Amino acid sequence: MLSRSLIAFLLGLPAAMAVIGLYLIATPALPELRLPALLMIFPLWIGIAGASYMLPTRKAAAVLIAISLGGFGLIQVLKNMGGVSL
Amino acid sequence: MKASTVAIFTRIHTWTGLAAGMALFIAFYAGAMTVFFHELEVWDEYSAVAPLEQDYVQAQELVDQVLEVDPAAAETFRLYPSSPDHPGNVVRWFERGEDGTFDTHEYRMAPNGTLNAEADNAHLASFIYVLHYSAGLPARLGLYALGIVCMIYGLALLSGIIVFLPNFLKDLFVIRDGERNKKRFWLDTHNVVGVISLPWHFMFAWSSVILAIGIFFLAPFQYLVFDDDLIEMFGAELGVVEAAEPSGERAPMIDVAEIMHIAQREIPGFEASQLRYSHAGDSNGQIRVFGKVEDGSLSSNANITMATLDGRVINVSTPQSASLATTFYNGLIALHFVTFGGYTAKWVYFFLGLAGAFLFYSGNLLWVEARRKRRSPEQPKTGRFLARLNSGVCIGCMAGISAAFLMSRGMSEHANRADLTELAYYAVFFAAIAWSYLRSVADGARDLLYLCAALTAAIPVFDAVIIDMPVWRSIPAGEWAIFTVDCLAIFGAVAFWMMGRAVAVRARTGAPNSVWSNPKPDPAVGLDVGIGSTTR
Repeated sequence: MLSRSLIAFLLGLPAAMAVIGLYLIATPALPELRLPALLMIFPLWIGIAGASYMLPTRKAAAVLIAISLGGFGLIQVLKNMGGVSL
Repeated sequence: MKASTVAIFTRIHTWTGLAAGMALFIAFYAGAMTVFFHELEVWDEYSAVAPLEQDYVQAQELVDQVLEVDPAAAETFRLYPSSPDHPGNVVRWFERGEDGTFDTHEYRMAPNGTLNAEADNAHLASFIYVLHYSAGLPARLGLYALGIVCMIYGLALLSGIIVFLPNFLKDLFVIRDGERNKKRFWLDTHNVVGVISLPWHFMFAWSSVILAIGIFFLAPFQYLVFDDDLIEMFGAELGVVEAAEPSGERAPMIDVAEIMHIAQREIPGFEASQLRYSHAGDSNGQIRVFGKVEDGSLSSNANITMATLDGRVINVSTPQSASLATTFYNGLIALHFVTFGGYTAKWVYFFLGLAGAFLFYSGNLLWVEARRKRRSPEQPKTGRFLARLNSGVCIGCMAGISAAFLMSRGMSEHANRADLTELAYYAVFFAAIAWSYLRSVADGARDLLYLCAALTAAIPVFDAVIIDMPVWRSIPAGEWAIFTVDCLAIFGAVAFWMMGRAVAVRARTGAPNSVWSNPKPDPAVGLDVGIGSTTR
């Protein structure tokens, strides 16, 4: 339970950040929604952390790492290639 | 829902509850009182000789005198204008020390027009407020610790609702008396309180995390997503506005009365509570007036920024003019601090706060009950340990707060009143924890609840004896803060006494195989002596 909780707690956060980051990058024309989107990180983290318990420990870790790396990687690609600037 | 899923979330709920429960108990019990922060200040600052109200002309005289005798204040200081509940203008500024701590400088104007630099020694309300967000740990560490606790609290809420879902309709608002099974009673009450206040608890977990450790959540976005400075992007929406750089040129300032006039002109119905000066006396000086405007919206916060040189308005922020982002953020903060809905909302928050404290206390009791060995007088050490810790921390916190009330009232003329108020809390709190480990579980809890009752009952007695304001005289005198505190103290004392009595009765007559059992040794049998004190 400790390892699963650490995964949910520690890996869930960057995953939630990556998802919100992707949303922000995808909607540059909606600046008024940026702050609410940032504030939504806590509910989103709760959802992601809770959902991670439904998976086996290793699979949960792999999925969360994949979301984080994939999300932040995509953000950098979009910023560098797509010219998106926030 | 699969049984295995429920089992997983039951374990999550158990461990998150245990990890966060006691800190949250302190946060909620102290928080319930902090709902009436302003009224607590009024209770604490009561003086038989009421200070006189002061006007804006006197406020300006105070500002001028402070800048003359303490020029370092000019960089940034705050003026709190006189109000009926807080008569007398106050100027306050904070000097940052080399170690990062702040020294508070406080000034008032005495009735004879001289400057009084003695700080107000009333500290109870602010102490309970700090306790609310630090759980008694050193303030900054406590704030971050409580932020993490609130993240765990969020998981506890999610897991709790998932565990409850399969029996939602069957168990909704049902409380079985638990005559045979105390665990059933505690589970039902825990569920009822949790379900009734679930949205409110979720709001608290969310807003508390944002307030306590939000900066750590936002910082990564600065480096990974945004190109511009986050504070520049969201500063205005979060209420953080950088003052203009000083020019170095001396310049006259508009006076307080004119500032208030401009504020009223720009925001009709505005009630100013604080004037924050930056670089006073400089040609680039600014003043930001904070207050509220009652327009029936959730967030009533408003502020206006103007130049101190000529009153030129730089920025106006009202609930109507606020952006979507500001409304969202201020709304969340307003929900946390209950700055809406008047006294009706405050009382609802007060009772929900107490119910929240009960939720965490009962959660720990459930853990103890769940590990109870019904067929053996020997109970698990973990159960005894947690039962003692739960009693010591939770009841000790309540007793400590009552002791802080008494100390603050008893030492109202003492210069070290603030320190003594804190000392009273911590002394009682730690003594309570020690006591709960020195006694059997049942005896310890009973003693601490009776101590709570005695300390709480003494609050109206102190008011009657020390400030000559018994509860029956507080109504004709119009001292509503004292009346309310005294009445709540009387109700609280009775409730504590009844709880102590219930613990004592259960110890004598309840099921014997429990940490809460403490049967009298049977002299006829001549054995079992010490079971109450050594194994339970």
